[in-house]
Amino acid sequence: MNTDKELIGRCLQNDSSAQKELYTRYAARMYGICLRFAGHALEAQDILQEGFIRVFLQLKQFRYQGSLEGWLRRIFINTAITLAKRELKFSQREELNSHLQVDSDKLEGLSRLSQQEILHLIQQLPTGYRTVFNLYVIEGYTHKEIGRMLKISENTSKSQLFAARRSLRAKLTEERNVNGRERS
Amino acid sequence: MEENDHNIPPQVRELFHDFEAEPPPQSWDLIRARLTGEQSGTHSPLNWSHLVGWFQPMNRLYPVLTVAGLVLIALFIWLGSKPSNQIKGQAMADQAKLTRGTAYLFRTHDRVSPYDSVRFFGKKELDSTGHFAFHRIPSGSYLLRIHVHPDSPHYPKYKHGYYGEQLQWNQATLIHTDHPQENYPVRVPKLTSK
Repeated sequence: MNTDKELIGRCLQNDSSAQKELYTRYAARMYGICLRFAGHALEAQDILQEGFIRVFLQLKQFRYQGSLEGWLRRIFINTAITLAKRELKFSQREELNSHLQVDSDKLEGLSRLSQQEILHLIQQLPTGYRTVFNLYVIEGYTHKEIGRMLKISENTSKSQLFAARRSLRAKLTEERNVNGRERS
Repeated sequence: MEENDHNIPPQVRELFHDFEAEPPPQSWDLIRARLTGEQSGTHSPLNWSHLVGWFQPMNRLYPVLTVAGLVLIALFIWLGSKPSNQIKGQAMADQAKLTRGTAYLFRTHDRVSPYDSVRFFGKKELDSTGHFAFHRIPSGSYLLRIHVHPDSPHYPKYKHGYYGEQLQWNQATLIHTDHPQENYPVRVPKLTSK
């Protein structure tokens, strides 16, 4: 099997078999990111396509200073943000809510759910909540970094995360009630 | 990452950070088709994401620069299209400079009978050294007349004259801009009393 470096070299020569190999190697991991950032599967497929187009067009800019996967990950996250920007609207009112974050409920209910169930809950979040949730909780960016990426203030990022958490708790309670009713 | 202030169980991150999912089988074909188009430059001209990107905050400068560039190009074209001919010279009365007078320029509009088709084009006051200059004049043939002011010390011995040291307009030497000269000195003829 080719190393990433050999594969990149061949891709840069427009070798279509190498491009397919790179796609096959990373598509599943990148599609996982797309599904988390998207509201539904079709949107995830759009991000996947757009992301790989950017990857192949910008591959010559890869400097081998980190892992190829890390570089791909950043491209896919940036692509998801770009495509979501049309729907991203952050209001000042939500920013004020960041001061009300005194809730200490750990949302333990989440850890009892399967990966697919949590994914479904994340996808149901509004675009802004979902984007900040993904960037902060899963990708590990700071609120400052998220602010720069989404061109919002740090406080807006915090309040979006708080709202995402509140929304997740509401959905968990809802599901718990539905399951309880079904069992009884 | 900052201190865990989101109260989301860490298992969620672990569960999702390396989350994998199989993309639909047709995805590669769609990417390949688009990639072929992008690389050969045949992608759709109506790619809305590019248009949206054009007006993103970071790119708002581009339309301004484009407009500024177009204005500059238009300005260069306009300035380039303006005529660059000039007729300049000095008015004299014998060996003395004429300091009080006006230079009149007439354009001829007929090649066959130029003297019958003269029309006033412009006038310039003589400066303190008797010089005059007409700039940015269209190509063509011209008559140049110097009129001596009544308060000039040379008046009334010198009243007017045409380029070519002539008193009569139909005997004046025509100036052709397609054979330009550096200077067009006008010597005003002295009037003789009969």
